[in-house]
Amino acid sequence: MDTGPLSMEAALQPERRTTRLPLAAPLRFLRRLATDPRGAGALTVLFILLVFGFIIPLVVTTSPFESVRGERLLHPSWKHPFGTDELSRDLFIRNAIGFRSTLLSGLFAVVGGWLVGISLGYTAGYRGGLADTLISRSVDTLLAFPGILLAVLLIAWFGPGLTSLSLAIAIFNIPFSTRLARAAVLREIVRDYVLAAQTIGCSGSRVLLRHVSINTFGVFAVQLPIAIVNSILIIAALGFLGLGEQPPNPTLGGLLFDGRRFMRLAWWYLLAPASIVAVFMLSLNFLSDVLSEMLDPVRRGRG
Amino acid sequence: MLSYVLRRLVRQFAPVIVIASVLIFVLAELLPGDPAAIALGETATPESVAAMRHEMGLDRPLPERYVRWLGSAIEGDLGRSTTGKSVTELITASAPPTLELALIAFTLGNLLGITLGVLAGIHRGGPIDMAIGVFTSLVIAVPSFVSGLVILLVFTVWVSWLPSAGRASLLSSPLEGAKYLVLPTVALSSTVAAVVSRFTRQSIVDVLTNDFIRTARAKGLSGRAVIIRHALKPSMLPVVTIIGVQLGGLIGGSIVIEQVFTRPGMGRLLIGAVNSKDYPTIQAITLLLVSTYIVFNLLTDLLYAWLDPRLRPALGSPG
Repeated sequence: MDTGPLSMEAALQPERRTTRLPLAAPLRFLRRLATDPRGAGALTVLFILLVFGFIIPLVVTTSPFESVRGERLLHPSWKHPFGTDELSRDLFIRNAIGFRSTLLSGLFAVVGGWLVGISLGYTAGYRGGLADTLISRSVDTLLAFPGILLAVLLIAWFGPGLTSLSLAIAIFNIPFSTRLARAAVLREIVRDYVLAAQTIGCSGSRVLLRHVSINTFGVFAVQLPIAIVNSILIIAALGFLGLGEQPPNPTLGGLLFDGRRFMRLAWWYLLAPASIVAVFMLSLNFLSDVLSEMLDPVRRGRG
Repeated sequence: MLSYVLRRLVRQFAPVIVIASVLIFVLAELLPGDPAAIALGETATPESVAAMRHEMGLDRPLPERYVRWLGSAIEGDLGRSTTGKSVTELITASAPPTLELALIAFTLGNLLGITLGVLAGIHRGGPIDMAIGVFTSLVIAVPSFVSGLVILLVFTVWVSWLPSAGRASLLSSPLEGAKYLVLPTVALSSTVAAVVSRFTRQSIVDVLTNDFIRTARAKGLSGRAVIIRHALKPSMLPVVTIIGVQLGGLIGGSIVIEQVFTRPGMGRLLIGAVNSKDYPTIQAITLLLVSTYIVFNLLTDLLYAWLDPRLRPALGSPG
């Protein structure tokens, strides 16, 4: 078939920085990160939170749905480290599962939204003309909805629930990723390797998927984690507004909502999920500060 | 300048608002369920539903209904809520709590943010800068509704200094109104202050490296005079650009913050409408918030172009 162009393509690739990272490099990176006290602290806290969300539900046998008679709104104790809720359910396990589900739905929804956004952005940037105008104007329109409003409107349309929440978050992520991908393609399209690939007869999609995508990967690698974190926040906020995954499944937002209702009777009910969100966000922000200082020598040493 | 304003209005403002309003209208129209049947209840006969559809104008084609809807919205008639009340009245009643909170949080947040940013910028690298840096990092990291929930727990449950829910009019009873406003204002304005402070600090640091600052120092001006008379104005330019972004954050933030502090504002009206599938109210509030946001973004751009004439040709391509 097209073995000829393939080998030629390989020869045409400019520095492919992202391929075959040896395992030693990320480890070394992690060690450098840990030498900074903020980095070490943030990594430790994140590790504890991830254990809490992903290991605890597997190890602890307490059911997040089981109500025990007479154990309503109990104070934190050895048996129930985070106390119990209004239906006598254990809040420790409910917070762990709620954290996990909020994290996972953020992850999947954002990746889904970004796949659509990047495809749209690639198309707009590569094709130009009418496709570009249509896509860019639609994205502008989505951006006219401030902050959380677009997600609220979409959930109003789909009806509350996990599916509509994920769809809303995915759509919420489309405008930014589209703009990012479009700008990246416009930057790359003038490079020689694109012209070379086109000259040897690569189709548009092949140029984009095999050549441009690899060289624009870095942009997305930096922005995607930020988008995931922001979306997790939006998910928690929507859950708090009662628009997220519906009971009895625990989510961080749902726990915040219920905790708010019972805060006069049980302060621990509200404080646990609020602390989890706060500590999670703080450690991620510290980590990102340390990372950007490490990666940007200009900022290093500047107060 | 006038032609620039007009060009912006026709090219960017009008299309976005038209498409956004179409989207808001069509989303609700595509929903399953017949508003006429819902309004009449379960006992309605097909004939009465058909009569109601005619009365509500639902038997007209979609584009015609859109034009009517937008037309009457512009005239101030936002239709009827599914509860039977006039949406215009619902919104007029819920606007003051939202507006006073947003306005106060915006003003306080900007004043505090600019002050902190200037302080940090002048004392770059010093203990004041470090302290302000820690404050802004903390505030930016933790979302305002979560910190809002924590201060709510502390100040209304642990020490009951302030009321936890409700609102009193600032105009008729200022003291009572202020009590309800303290906590939500702290929650909302601290985020604004932190973001503005970061921008201002960076901007001051950049401006202070300019030659004209060195000249001002060289001719013997005091440090204070250099900052106030020379550095402050040019360093405000980048800060102006984020006013629009902040406003978006404030609109989104107040929806959630009103829920945290149970303030009877537009955010609560919107969430209540979403929960009861009250689409006319959802449409009206969304249209209102989106138009406000677009208008303020436009004003920000215009303000920026007015402050810095070099940007005019770049923003609105000639022609």
